[in-house]
Amino acid sequence: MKKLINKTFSGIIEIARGMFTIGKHAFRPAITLEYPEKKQVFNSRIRGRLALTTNKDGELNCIGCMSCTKVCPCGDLIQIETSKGENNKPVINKFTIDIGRCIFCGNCTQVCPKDAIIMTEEYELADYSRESLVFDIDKLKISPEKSDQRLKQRERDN
Amino acid sequence: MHELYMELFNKLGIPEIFGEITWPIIPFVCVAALLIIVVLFLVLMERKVLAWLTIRKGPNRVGPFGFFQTIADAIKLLIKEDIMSKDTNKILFTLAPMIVFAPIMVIYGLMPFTEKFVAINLAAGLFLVFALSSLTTVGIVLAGWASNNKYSLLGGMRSAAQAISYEIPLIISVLSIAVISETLNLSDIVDAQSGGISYNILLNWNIFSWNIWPAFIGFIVFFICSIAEVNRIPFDLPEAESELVSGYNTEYSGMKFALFFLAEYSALFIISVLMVTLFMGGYLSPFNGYLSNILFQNIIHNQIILNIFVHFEQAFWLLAKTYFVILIIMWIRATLPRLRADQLMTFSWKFLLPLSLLNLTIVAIVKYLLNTGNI
Repeated sequence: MKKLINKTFSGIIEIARGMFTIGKHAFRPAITLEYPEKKQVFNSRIRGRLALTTNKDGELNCIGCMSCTKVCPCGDLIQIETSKGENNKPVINKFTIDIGRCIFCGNCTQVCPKDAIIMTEEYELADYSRESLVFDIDKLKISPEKSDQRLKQRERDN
Repeated sequence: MHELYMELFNKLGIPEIFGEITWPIIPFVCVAALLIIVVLFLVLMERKVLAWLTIRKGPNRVGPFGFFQTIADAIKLLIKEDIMSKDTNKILFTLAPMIVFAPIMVIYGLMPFTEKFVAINLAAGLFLVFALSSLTTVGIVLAGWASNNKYSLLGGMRSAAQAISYEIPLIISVLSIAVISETLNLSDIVDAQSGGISYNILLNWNIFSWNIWPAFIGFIVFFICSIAEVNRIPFDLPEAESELVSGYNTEYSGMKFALFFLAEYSALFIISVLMVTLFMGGYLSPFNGYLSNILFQNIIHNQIILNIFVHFEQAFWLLAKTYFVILIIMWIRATLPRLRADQLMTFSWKFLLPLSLLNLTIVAIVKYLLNTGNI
């Protein structure tokens, strides 16, 4: 009998403590992030959408070495076609990345000798068809200022 | 009221027989509308309160502060496909949600929401309320059986076991209320709680003559058992998500599922109203007399209009107390984990039943001494 009464009172105290803890939560601001209106601030090391950097003249940094295509684990995800321009300088005719199949491993950015292909913060890539997820040069290219800023961030954080 | 209604028919030139036919339907329509509004609000409140207690935001997309979320959900449920799998018992499967829902609707009619707003005022109202609320379990067992699904069946069986073990302490604790107020009529039980304990200035407040004070142990037993009665956490074994998918309503979809959902939340509301009616003075204000009498008697001199104000105030007090009780039940839901089946049984038979008998004994002795004038 004495044991039962002790157990009852300790049970009541434990439940009251639990309820008090939960009650305290009511006065805390919600930790919910209301996504489409507010967005999370990411570290610059986030592996988002791939992009091609440009130099100050607005030309691609890519030299067409094909390292990224070789290191890519997804087969023919990156497709590059080059031709020789003046002074044997390579001209990129075609550079497509099928983002729909990309696994965002970041191997291509690590292997690139000229930092021509980098990863951006962009992660909202949903689209209505698979064809529209195959990005070409126009979609992949980012402005010189942005590529500069992005590369500096990468230098600082890595 | 009846004469007024008939006069309306006479003036419009409609035969009086239609008036006679439609007159009994009016309380039903009122009760049905009340039930649906209550449930629509309660579902939103539950989601908001739970979000609030678990540091989230809750629904806030549909309408201002998410007020129309439940309306959107209800419309979604109504236009959904009604799926019935091949091996179900078709008749019982269709009948089960109705059997669950119908008794709860009748109980709504029995409740004294204000002094006049009682659709069915019976001498043995309290008795009928408990008779009907046990009928719900039959529907749940039927749903579990007719679904032809092992999870549903287990949920139904658990519900039956739970109802048998929790209804006994529940009813014994209610018995003490019948002893105190010497009646089974719910309106009379409420009236018996008015008046305070003395004629002194503060002691004549109604709050001191609520049944919760003489039958405090009974109130605690009733509170725990009523949570078990409406199958809520920590006693939600019939629909334990992590063990039984969704228990007895696993196979249900669309309109039939909506009926179960409606029944569940209206049962939560009605059990809280019952708790308030039996233990916390029902529609009576906790003070001495009604506030609107004190506040408006110098402004409004028409007694009829003042009575209307008093009516609304009674409804306000009832709803305020009810939602306070519901808030605590939701708070408990946010705090406690689910009990194991054997813990549930042990708790009921070895703890709550002796406690409710102790309460009945205490109340009976106190009542006897009061009646014989020994105190």
